[in-house]
Amino acid sequence: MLNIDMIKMGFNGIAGNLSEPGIIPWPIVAIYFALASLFLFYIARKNGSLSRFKTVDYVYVGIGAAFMIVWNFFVGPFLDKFVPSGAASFIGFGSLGQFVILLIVIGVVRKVGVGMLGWAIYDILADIYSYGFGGEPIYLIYKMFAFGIIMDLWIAATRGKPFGIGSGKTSNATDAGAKAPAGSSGFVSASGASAGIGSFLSKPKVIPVIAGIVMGIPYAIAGPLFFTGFFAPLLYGGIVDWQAIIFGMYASLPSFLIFGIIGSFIAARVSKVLG
Amino acid sequence: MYSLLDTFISWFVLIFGVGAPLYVIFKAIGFNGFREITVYSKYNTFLYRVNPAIKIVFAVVIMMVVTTTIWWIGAILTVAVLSLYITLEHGKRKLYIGSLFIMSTLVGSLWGYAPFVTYSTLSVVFPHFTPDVIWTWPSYFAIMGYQHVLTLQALKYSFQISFRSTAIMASALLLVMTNTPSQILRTLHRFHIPDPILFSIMVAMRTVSFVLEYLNESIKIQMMRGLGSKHSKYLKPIFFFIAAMQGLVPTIIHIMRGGKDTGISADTRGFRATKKRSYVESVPINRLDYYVLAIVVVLIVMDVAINIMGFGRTIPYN
Amino acid sequence: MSKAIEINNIEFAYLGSSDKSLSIQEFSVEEGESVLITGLSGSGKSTFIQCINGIIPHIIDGTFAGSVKIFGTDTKEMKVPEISRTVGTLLQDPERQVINYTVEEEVAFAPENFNIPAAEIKEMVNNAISSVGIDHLKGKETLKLSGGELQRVALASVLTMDPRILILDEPTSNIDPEGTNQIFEFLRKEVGKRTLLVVEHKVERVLPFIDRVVVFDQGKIVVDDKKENILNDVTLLEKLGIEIPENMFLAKKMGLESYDIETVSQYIYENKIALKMPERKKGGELSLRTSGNVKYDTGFDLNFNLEFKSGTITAIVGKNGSGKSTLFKGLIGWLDDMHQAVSDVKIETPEKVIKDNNIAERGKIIGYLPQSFDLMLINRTVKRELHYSRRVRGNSNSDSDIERITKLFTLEKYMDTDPLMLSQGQRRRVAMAATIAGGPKIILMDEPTSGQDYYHKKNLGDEIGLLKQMGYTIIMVSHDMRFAFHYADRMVVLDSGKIVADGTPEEVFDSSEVYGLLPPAEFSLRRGIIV
Repeated sequence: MLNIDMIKMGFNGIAGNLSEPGIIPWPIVAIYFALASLFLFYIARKNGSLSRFKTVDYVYVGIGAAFMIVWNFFVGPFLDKFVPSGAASFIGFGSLGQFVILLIVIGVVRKVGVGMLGWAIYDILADIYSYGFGGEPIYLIYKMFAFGIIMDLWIAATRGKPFGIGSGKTSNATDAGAKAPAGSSGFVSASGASAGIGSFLSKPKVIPVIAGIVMGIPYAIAGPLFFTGFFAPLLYGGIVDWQAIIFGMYASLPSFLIFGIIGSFIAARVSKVLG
Repeated sequence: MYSLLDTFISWFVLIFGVGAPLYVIFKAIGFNGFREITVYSKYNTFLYRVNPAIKIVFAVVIMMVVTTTIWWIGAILTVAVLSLYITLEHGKRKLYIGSLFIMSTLVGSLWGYAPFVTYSTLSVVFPHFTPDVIWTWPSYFAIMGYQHVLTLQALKYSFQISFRSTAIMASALLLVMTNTPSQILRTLHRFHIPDPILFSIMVAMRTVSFVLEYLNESIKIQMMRGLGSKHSKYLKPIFFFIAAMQGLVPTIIHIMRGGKDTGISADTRGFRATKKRSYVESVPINRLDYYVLAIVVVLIVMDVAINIMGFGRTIPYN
Repeated sequence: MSKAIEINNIEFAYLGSSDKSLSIQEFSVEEGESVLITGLSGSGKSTFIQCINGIIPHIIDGTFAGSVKIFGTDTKEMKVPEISRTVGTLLQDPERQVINYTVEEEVAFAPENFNIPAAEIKEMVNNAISSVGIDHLKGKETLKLSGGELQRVALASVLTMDPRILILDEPTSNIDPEGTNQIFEFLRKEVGKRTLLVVEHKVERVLPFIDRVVVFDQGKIVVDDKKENILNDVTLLEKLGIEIPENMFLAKKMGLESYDIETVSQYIYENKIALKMPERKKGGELSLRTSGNVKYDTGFDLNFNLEFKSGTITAIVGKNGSGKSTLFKGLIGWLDDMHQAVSDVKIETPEKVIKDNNIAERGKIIGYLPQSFDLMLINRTVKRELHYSRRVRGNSNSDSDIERITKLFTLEKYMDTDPLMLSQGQRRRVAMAATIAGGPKIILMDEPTSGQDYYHKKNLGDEIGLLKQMGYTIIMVSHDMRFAFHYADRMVVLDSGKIVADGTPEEVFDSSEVYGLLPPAEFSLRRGIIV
């Protein structure tokens, strides 16, 4: 008799199981992804943060993806060995490292779409290097829409200044031969205001903290929610356990918050250096 | 009563589980070894002549077979794919490094699962499950999530699931070792992936090598400057990690500084001049590719036959 | 002759900066003319060429005004790819430009972008490869090429579209002498065939085949003169920090019409004029003895036995692949026995002998400044960077020692600054200061002058001169023969893994051409006297 799992895997490792008990109904996932994309496009267009990618932006994304590959296949697994299994739900260095690297990339590129593009490039690369395109294009869609879109929404919301790095006027005198990098004026208000909340936001350490929180919380939620709640059963018939999903969200929240904030500071530093 | 010797053995086993893959990855393979099995190097044996699209299909089918059949099929395929490494440039060395890498993955996942597998999972995997206890951990190991005892079944289960990814990994690495990024990207181009994205992937594939080289350099400079020198050499992996973390930002900045020139260089050579891009070298399908496709078909037939014979996947994913 | 480039009232300020990086009222280049563009780093040269190839205003953000016309068409009205069919641009660092894995793929990159049929591209690629003389590199992997070879591949890839204007932005700054010679040889042959704009610090190498010299300072053109009149400008050029070959100074001083080396040498010889030689030190105590053998699986074999004395500067020179980098890596214990090479490199100081590849132990004796010095700047402030070794190793350097080093490298005002935010010259100084602050008395420097202009090279020379006086042993790998002539006490020439010459720069330069090392003008001028 043909093993039932054989049928479940279907083409390219996709079981296509949409009737697992507890699974998030696919129209909800589809509608969320569609609405989130429309919303992203709407606010990006409204506040003028939609701008065309330049070649150098694709270069930066490629460089970031290369770091993510090295992290995921070399550094991340090394660090995860130090994490006791009991704590693995709380801290996964593999995904946290990727999160931080992408924060750096979005800090440098600062254009709506870079979050989704970054995840897409990484996903294809990871297939080339290790996963052999199994489960594609589902993983691609999952990573772009579950994670990448969060970063893009933040870029759109901050009008292209995800970590407060702006383009205020400055004098470029440093030393002989030195040229101040563009955008090196430091942190400016995300809203451009000079008083009240604007003045609060203009404090150098405030925006990276907010950015880390705003992106860290959805990141912690998106993984357990979308993967365990929808994509795992869709891909290979994974069991949907809502208690585990909720626990997963709570457990990974602190590490994503901490790494989100640290990563935002690093991203602010790198984007300041590179201009 | 838990004796001192038992405590020693428990800790030894725990440290072995964590340390052995680390030793293999960092001491035996190292950044240079990792670079060697992730970068194309020119040579002229049959694998270099197989169309990358066919290799991708091969990797996908390997993945399908491994995930739908009993574990030892995965093990056989891992060995079979790895043995192909001998035909590559510096084949013996690549086989050696590839085997070490796969072995570290196996040992890593074996010890990453075995001490933690619950009886409930094991009873799903092994019908009529009666635990064969081979070791009892100290009670305080529970803090790390360890089960109270290590069973033979837990080891078996962990060993078996470890083979799920190894064959896929080995065949994916085969693709990057035998095809230039542009050959791979020309294949992806057929799937109408936009040129800027392909360009970005090409930059990434070239950069992987630089990331490994520069990160390695940054780590070594820190070691030269004294990092970890006040401490025992047994703590070297910890300091290696600290150095890698500290070296990450300067390495990213160093490579990204060059990225500006890469962008300008591409722009001043007409990048994105037209919507359609031509490719000077075509990657044709030749007779060899049909042979490989035949092997792919055999694998699929084998997969179905194995399942009919009752050797389908018996272990759940969750 | 028609105008290839016409510039009218251009101004440019980078986004976020209120200062103008470039301001030019009028400038033009005739078709077929060859122009040398020079000036200090940051003087506006690169911004200027980016205005010509359309990167400004199309790619780089900022405030741009005025007009740049290429063969009569304003660059604002064209897109960058369109401009790139007429204007080819070769940048400084080949590693940053080359994207593809094989030589042919790289050279075909531009025509592929224009969707030219494959058969046509093949012909274009062959022509470009032949014109640069790299037919022997066909089929090779770009990752395995030397800097010089890679730069010529990059040049071929710019030439595939046969641009009427060719811009070379410091094309030899990061490559070896052999590669440099080949690039200049190519340029010499190209004169008149297309319009050439060559941004270069090595004025003496370019002057023989260009028509005009343009000098930038603070975003403005301050000299724009025919080559023949350049002697009138040498004093000004030197004031602007341009590296002026000594023969030009002497020619002006002696009232000669020609500044070519033979004429000037002849004059010096006939008039018995004594030229001062740089002082060479024999050094003090023996500070390092090293011997070793390194075997690569490629068949390359390096053998050496060297002694170094305190208070000396030694330049290790040689062609690419001669073994310079391997020698350095062997000294600092970086050769990976399993994958790269079998090495047996012993280092010995009066106090210690180290035979194994223990990096940390070797690091106590030897400080290493890599070419990519950014990689060692891991701390958030310059102060922390300088205190790093003391913190992690607990060496004997006191606060006052570090203060002294800070002053030596004039870093006092940057102590609380993020080192990665500094300019290239400052970052190099921080890295060097941090290496010294680590406590070693033997310092290895890998290509310290790479990509640096005359001003920064001179600063570097002064700094290592001071270190020498303080008793440090400086060993540097360098492609820069002029720098070696001015500052080294000793030169060691490597060729195919063997030491083939070892002596003062004068002794070595006497026969260095055999090994592909062209002596600088300063030596050639003095050779006449020596004879």
